[in-house]
Amino acid sequence: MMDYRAARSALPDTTPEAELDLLRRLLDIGAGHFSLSLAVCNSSTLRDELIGAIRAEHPDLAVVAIPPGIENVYAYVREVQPAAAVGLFLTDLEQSTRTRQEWQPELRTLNAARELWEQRYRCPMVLWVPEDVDDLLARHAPDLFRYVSHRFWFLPRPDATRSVDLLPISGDLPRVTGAWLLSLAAADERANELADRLQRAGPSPTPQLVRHVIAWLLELAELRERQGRPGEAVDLAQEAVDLARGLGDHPRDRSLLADALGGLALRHADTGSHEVALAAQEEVVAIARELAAARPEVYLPGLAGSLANRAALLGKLDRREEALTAAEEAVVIGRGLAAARPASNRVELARSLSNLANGLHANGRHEEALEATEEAVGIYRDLAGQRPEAFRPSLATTLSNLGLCLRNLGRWEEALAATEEAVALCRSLAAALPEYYRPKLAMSLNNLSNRMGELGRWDEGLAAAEEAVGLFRDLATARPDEFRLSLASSLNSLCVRLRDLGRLDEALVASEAAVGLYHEVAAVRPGAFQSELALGLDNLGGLSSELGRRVEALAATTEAVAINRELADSWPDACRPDLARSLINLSNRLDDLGRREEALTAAEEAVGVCRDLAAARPEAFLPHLAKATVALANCFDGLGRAAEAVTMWRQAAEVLAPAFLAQPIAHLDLMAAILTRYLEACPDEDLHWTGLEPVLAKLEELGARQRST
Amino acid sequence: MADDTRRRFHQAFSPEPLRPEDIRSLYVDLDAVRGDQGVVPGLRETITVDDGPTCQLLAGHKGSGKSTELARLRRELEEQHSCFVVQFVAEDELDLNDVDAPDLLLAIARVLITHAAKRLHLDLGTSLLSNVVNRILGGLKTHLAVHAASLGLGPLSLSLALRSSPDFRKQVRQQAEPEVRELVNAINDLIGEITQHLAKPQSVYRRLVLIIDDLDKLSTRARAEVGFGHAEYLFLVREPQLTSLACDVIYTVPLDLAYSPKGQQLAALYGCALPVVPMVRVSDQKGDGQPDPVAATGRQLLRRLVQLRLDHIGLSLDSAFAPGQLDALIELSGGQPDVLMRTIRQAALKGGLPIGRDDVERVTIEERRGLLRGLMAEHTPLLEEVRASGQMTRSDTNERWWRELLTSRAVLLYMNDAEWFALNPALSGTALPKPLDPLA
Repeated sequence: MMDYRAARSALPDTTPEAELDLLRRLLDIGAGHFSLSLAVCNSSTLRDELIGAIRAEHPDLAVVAIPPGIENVYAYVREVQPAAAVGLFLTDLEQSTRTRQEWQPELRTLNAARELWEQRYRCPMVLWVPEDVDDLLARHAPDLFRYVSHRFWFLPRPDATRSVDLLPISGDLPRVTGAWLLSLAAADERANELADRLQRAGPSPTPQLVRHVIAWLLELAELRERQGRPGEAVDLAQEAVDLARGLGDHPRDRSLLADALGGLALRHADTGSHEVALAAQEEVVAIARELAAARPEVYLPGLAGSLANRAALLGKLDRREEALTAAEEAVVIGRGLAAARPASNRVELARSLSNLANGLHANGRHEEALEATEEAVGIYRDLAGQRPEAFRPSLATTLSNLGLCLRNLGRWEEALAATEEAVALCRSLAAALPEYYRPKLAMSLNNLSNRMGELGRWDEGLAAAEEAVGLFRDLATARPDEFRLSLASSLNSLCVRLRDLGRLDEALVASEAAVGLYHEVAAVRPGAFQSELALGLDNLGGLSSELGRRVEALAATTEAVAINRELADSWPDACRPDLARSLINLSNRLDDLGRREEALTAAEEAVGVCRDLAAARPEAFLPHLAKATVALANCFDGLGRAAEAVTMWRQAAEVLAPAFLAQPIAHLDLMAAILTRYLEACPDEDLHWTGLEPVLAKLEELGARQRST
Repeated sequence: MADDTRRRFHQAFSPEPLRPEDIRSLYVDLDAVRGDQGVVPGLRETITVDDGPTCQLLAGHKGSGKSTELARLRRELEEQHSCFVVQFVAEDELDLNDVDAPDLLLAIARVLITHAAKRLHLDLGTSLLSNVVNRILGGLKTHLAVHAASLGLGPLSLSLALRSSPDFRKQVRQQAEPEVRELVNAINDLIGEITQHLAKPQSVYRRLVLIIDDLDKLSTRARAEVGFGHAEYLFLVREPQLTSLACDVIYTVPLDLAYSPKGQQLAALYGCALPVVPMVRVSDQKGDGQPDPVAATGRQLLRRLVQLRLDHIGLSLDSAFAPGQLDALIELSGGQPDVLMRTIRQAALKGGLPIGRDDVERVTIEERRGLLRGLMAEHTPLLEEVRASGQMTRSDTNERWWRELLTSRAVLLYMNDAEWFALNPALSGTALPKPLDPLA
């Protein structure tokens, strides 16, 4: 680049008059040919006088003052001065440039449009600028700067000092929302616009318009869903599918049909019609396979997405193995795509990984589920770091899932940390867009309540559960089909937290409400959500028992065992922990009613199941084994088999000790109950085992702390 | 020569493509002498026989007349087939040294909005597009986001801002990448709105056609992040985005890409044959040593092309050219209409009218110098082959040099029944750079 300062200092002394003569000469000979010159003048008064003098001789001279704030100088000048014959003078560029420190859009667009000036104006063009803008031109419009053929100096003294006024730059950033995050008002506006377009298109749109109509129908269906009009949403999506079926066999038309069917599947899923949704989604997958086989580079992302959706729908229908297979295929494709084009395809990979984790979790493959979820969290965290508004919702969901995965592996503290982060994210999202993010917040609060409870933080757990129930109750009132199950789950969590705090009557009310809702859901979709129903029944049985309603307690628990036994037969890895839980409860309920032999049988089965589970994952299932062993000890005790009971209590204490020492509050009640019975039955210190001392010391420490507070 | 005459002559012989409004008075149909008849009819037929959106490519040497043929196509589509044609020159909207799909898509959006407003008086709803743009800008690094916010960058101005700043462009692209699909959807929403407007009974148009010219001038430099050229990247890797617009689209592609090993892949991806606008045959030598009967017609048509422009400014051939000099310039052009116009202009600027032998010689020397400046020793074996046989054998090792010769127009492509190559006439009889000695 030319060293303009050095060049200027080397210039002979010039007077404004001499420079003016040169500029006049340029205008005389230059008409008809484009040339670019700079007239450098720091005084606007002097500049106006000079231009006035030239204009007196050339009345056709075009002079355009650039108003402040004009970004595209070329477009503005073209608008106000479409043509110029003699010459074109541009002034006041400094009014815009001086308001910005670094980024000079007007200069950059001036630079970008350099060839357009030449094409439009066949005459000399002179930019009248002060010295500082001359500097800026060199920096921000280098190409234009190189176009400059003449420079005229109208400076009183060559070394006049410069002073540039800078205005503060606003630090406010534009508020950013995603297209799928339209506010309700914006969604309404868009829905009206689309409805209007569809009405104008009529029932038989022209061949050129039909594909657009299909896209509009699908978008409007989604908006109607958001507006709480799911039936209308399904009808619109169905209309889109009908139109798309009328198109040809061209890949673009098959792809559009797949889009329409995918939209229909989502709309049906939103209304809880998962079987119908799955049927549509199966067709989507078939079309996507056909397209991807012909042109993988174009249609593989679509196939991965359609498989992920199929996996999600199969999961909703409790078809766990098929869901897992679909999710695995989607991840394999997603990995290939993300390796080829990470920027475009990492999101899809993260989504597929989350689906896969759900499938693995449902099949009891918890380590692999954790691995997949951690990978998904890593991707979303990275993306959310770059674009928080776009990816924080997905990050929140995945963190919540991560909490669950960690909890399944007995990593309680890490599970709580992940869930707390998820809740914090959801809370800020729901503050911005409550109607959209309240379900997500409610779900994360429910999970937080459970994680708190697992660590013995009962009060905080209860607060979270109450908030979750409140949110889900509102949501289920407005959209029962969608939120009834979630409300039931949150009531279940509330019941457990209330029980933890000894508020049994309130807990029973919550538990009964939860079971009632589960039964309603199960009546609509037989076979689905049995695991959730069994959990609710187990809780109801336990509470009923504690409140002395032993017959009701046994009935509820027996139903839970039956359900879990069936589930464990089908999915042993995933459902045997639930079966163990129900068997322990059944043993207790039978024991309550004096049916001790039956209770012993149930307890022995529970111990067997828990021993297998703990052998595979001790950190997760040793507390379960301790509980089952206590149930067995109680049965022996009730049957008068005292020695066997003592042995079992001691075994239970030994089994629970590592977990108790690691998380004493969480296991305090159980450990205290075991040791009380053990020490009562076996006061002889000789029979104590070496591991007992640290456990007693920890109990003493906790007691002292409790007394001091 | 009077200044006024000189000025009018200068303007009349602009090497720029003809504007659609000049087609009727200045256009000469060169199909017959290009050897590939029916480029425009082929493109037109593909659009008019298909109900759905189509996507087509057009290749050709720079200056072979692609833009003029596209102007003719535009005129035919508008006048005979009720198409609303939006044509734009990529160079006006994009930095052709560095183009990626998001920049192109934003430029397309900008052009569509502008044309709809100006020509249809249709104010397009841009809420979807604005949402996408806001999300893209919202993810920018702080300093750029502050700039963007202070500029109030919207869909219209973002495109221009991208053209002018590589740094801003890089940042925006990074943010736009996950939004590309949404960006396409938003543009298709604009297209849908225009299409619905065209479907009104009172509309004179029925169908939207988008022509994006000048993408054949994309830089041949390799993109650092992918290791191959910009054109290859845009047309092959970004094909899913380029073909997903919901209207008829025509892109121009660089000739060297069309003739590269990727040419077949390109045709397969876009599902169409790859029409090429070859040079007009003006030389009797077509590489096989046989006289070319079509060349005489080619020379005649180029003379007609010059004659029309002279008529337009009221000059006769005799007053503009000394005897034989127009033929010499036509020969020098190698059948490149833009080179013919440019060299006529140059010759007249130096020596005035009529253009004499000295002027033509001077221009010839300048053309030769220009071409020789771009040649390297590695080009010589290929040039020698072209000179001897009219062919240019491509291999893994000479691919780069092969492409450069086509891009620089040192070698020109012609078509009879088969395609053949010829040295640019400005290089005829010139000593070529000495080939490198093979490594010991």
